[in-house]
Amino acid sequence: MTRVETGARVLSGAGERLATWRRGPRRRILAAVVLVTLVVSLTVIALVTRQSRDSGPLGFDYDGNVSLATQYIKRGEPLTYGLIVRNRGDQPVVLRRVEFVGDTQGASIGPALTAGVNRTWGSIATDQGFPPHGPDPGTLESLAGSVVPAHSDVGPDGSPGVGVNILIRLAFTDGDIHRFTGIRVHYLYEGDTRVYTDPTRLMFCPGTCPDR
Amino acid sequence: MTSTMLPAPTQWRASRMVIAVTVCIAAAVVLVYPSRADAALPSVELHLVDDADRPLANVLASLSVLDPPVDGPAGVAAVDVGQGRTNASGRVAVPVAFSDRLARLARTNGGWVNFEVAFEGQPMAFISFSRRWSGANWVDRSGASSAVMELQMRRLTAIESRAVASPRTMRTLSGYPHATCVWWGPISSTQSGAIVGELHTGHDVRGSFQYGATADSDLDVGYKYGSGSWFASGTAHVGTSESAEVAWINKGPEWRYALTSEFLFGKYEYIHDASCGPNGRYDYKVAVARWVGGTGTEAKKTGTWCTTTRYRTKYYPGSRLNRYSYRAHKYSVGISAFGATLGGVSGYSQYVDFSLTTGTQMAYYWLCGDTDYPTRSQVVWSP
Repeated sequence: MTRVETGARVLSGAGERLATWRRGPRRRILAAVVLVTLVVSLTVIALVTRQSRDSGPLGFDYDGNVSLATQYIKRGEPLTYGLIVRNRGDQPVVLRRVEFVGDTQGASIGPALTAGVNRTWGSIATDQGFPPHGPDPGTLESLAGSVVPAHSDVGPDGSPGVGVNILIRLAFTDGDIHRFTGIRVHYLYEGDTRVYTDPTRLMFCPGTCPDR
Repeated sequence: MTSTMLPAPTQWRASRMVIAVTVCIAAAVVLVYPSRADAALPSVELHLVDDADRPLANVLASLSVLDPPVDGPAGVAAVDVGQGRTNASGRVAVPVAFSDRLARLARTNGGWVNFEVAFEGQPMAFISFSRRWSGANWVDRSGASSAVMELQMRRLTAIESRAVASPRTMRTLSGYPHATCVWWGPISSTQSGAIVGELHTGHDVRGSFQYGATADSDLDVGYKYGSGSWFASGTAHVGTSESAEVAWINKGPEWRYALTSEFLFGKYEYIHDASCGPNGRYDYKVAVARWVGGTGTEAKKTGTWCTTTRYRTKYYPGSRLNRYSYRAHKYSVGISAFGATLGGVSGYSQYVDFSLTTGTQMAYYWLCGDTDYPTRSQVVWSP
């Protein structure tokens, strides 16, 4: 009898503790933990999803690392920097804007133009002046709204396509060495805003650029 | 003690909970342990098909490595490291443990191990290939652990049927100079130059090319069966794990050469007895052992450059284009070793450094790529 009573007291005590726990601060702590976990999980999912959205159809398949140092630039005078983008997607890409990744202090950037896949004069990586010399101005168009055709990563004979040459105006008014770790290209694909970051490391120097 | 004081229904509930937890743990152990065990077992995956792309099922594949290295004394040079039988789809994952031997071979070859595969009772020859140890599994160049070695009969030189003894029998029969049915060697070794890159500087352009440190190459492995001709069957990887490097630095204008460096090759002999093929036939193999350094060039390249505008790119005067850790050209020239030119032997280098610097005499400079733009092409020209 005593043992049963003891057991009942134990059970009763447990029930009370459970009831107290349900009402008490521990429950609020648990709720907070669950909420935080949920928020963190959703954030991670959102970030992962965003990352996958960024790895869209626009790009240039580098086979290694590339850097370009442009030396003996004339301070204050415009020059052209160009990059190639290709679209491996099934739908056209519509370009929106570009931005340099790095310290842009002392740099005047933009506007940007594009030369489409039908150009016949080659392409430009760096050139003096802007718009660049050589291409027929009639073949250039403003970057915003330019189209990179679907499947432009491959040419008619199966070799890499010529892609679209993005041409950006640059002028440096201040500073000695200007370094950039890449260029972000913002574009629309199937109604979604996406970003491609060209990884070419860039240096622009009024004199001789350092080795790295 | 407390539980003994619980009423019967509570004890029953507690027991039920204990049973449920135990069952869950047991289920977890049963379900998880085998998959962990499988995951822990490194393997090399092969896929074997015939001339008509039909899978070759139920075939025993035998993997081996060459050891000891080429500069050791001659002896039994092939060591079996794993076997497996293809399934109905012609696929087999040959379990290959990362043994001390393979660890040593990988350590001296930039992490890579060169394998050779032979198949029981198939009208085909040996095939060489390489895999890198990732720390957990065997991976290919792309780093994929599930990389499958695709082997198709029609791409291989068909010879008489041969059998791979399982396990390989090591013996020296009367009348034979050394053990039969196994690679024996090196019976000789030699140094030979292989192309590791190409550098073209045009008018008022300078260039540099560096190979070594983290550079590496895949060089074809040459085989010769009986009185037949030498031919290539697969590749062997030679990594430059040493800190050494060779470079062609700051070459001036109009410098256009294929760049060569020296590699050590070993020659091995395989004598068949009646148990493993045509009795008394001698086969030979020539495989690269390691890079030994040195710089050289082939004959100066002449011609016209940047003749098409397709991958032509304009650069500012004073531009310096650097490409590093990139994959260079696959060269289809022959390597001469042991007096035999191994037709089709090629160099396939990656992780080389390369730069071109334009001068200041002209308003702009053109650089051209052969297979893509200069930032990605296999060879970069300047006119």
